Amino acid sequence: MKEFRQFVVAASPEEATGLKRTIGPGALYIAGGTSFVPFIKTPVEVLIDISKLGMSAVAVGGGKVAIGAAARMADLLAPELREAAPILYRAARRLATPLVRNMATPGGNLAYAFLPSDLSVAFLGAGAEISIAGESARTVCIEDLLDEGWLDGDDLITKITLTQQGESEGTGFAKFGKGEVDIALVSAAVRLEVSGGAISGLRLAVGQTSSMPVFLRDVAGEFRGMEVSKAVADEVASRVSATVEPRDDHRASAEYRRHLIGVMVGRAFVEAAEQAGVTIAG
Amino acid sequence: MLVKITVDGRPFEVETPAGETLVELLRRLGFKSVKDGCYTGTCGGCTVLLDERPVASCIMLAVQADGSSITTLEGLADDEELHPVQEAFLEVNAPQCGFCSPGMMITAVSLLRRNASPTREEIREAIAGNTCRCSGYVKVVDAIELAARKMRETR
Repeated sequence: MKEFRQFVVAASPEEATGLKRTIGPGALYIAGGTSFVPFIKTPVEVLIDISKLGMSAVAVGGGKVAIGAAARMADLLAPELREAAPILYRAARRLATPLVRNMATPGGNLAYAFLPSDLSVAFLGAGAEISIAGESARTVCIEDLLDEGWLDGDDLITKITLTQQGESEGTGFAKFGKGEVDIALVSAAVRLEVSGGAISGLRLAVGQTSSMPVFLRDVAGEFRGMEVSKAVADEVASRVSATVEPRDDHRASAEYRRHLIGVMVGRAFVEAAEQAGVTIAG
Repeated sequence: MLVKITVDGRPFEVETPAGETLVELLRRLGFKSVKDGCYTGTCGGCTVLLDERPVASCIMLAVQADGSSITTLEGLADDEELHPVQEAFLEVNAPQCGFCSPGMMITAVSLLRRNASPTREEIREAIAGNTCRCSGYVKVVDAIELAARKMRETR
């Protein structure tokens, strides 16, 4: 039994954010609940159920992939999404277990990005736009949200939008954990755009190195215009590995994480290159 | 809070405190096949079908299930006749200590509704959220394969 005093099913995003503003820190949004139902230690005054606000659809169209914040993780494994945004399939397929994927939501996973969230890294690598309801309603690039200090106050994620992956584009995601469904020790996501065999766009993100996912804007910029090759893949991996400041804890030492980050970035880059039509001999 | 749920075809209207998990409510209502194991969604002993989707009922609140239809192991048999998945688990002798078996069988039923001929690899993926404390997975996979065969033959 948990110490939750009240449970309110919100009828609209306005009602949900209004309640959150009125009650403040004593209120929490709940969709799947898989992160905080088992792990929360402090009593909560009011849980605001946001799972019935019509934010559960996943749609592909007009060059965009739109994911309702309260969709289920399992919905990200849909065949049409696998084609339009393969990185989500890669990240969601090894995210927790099938039981949890039937309950947990992308919005919740993002809201708790400071926990070991694989999906936030994939969204950061892919360049997602996050739509937020509330007093400061806005649609913001995920890296800008990271710069802002993530979510605050009554912020309620309603939708996550990605651009559909083009012909000359590729994405890769790799994570390393003890076993396939275990929490990652490190994870990496890459989005690559290729033009005439050279890198015309590159996004790099890594997770589980510090308390939030890390976006490597400057490192990615160094590789613009370079030819997509094994040597460049190795160089990207070693630059990221040298740049991040991995945490040191009981699960992995900083040194071990630094090594793993290089390996995962390398794998994600090779995967992205292959999708973009460049096969890199291993 | 007043919650209306259907469990194994039986309607319930029951008062639940906001902090009560679904597994706690189901066991309180007498559905003891739903095992409370880890309370972190890791072991799958508490697996039930929530509107056809297998979920870990220990990491959701009972109030979240309001209006839903739930299936437990106890709802699988048709009167005296066991479900093919239950028959197969018996035939193969899949349960060892038996604690994980109800959850395993619920997950298996859900898999076979979506995929009538799963490969061993697909079966292993489907049961990734159900932990067997005896580590007896080989016979569980054998049983699910056998159940799939039985269900295809009777169709």
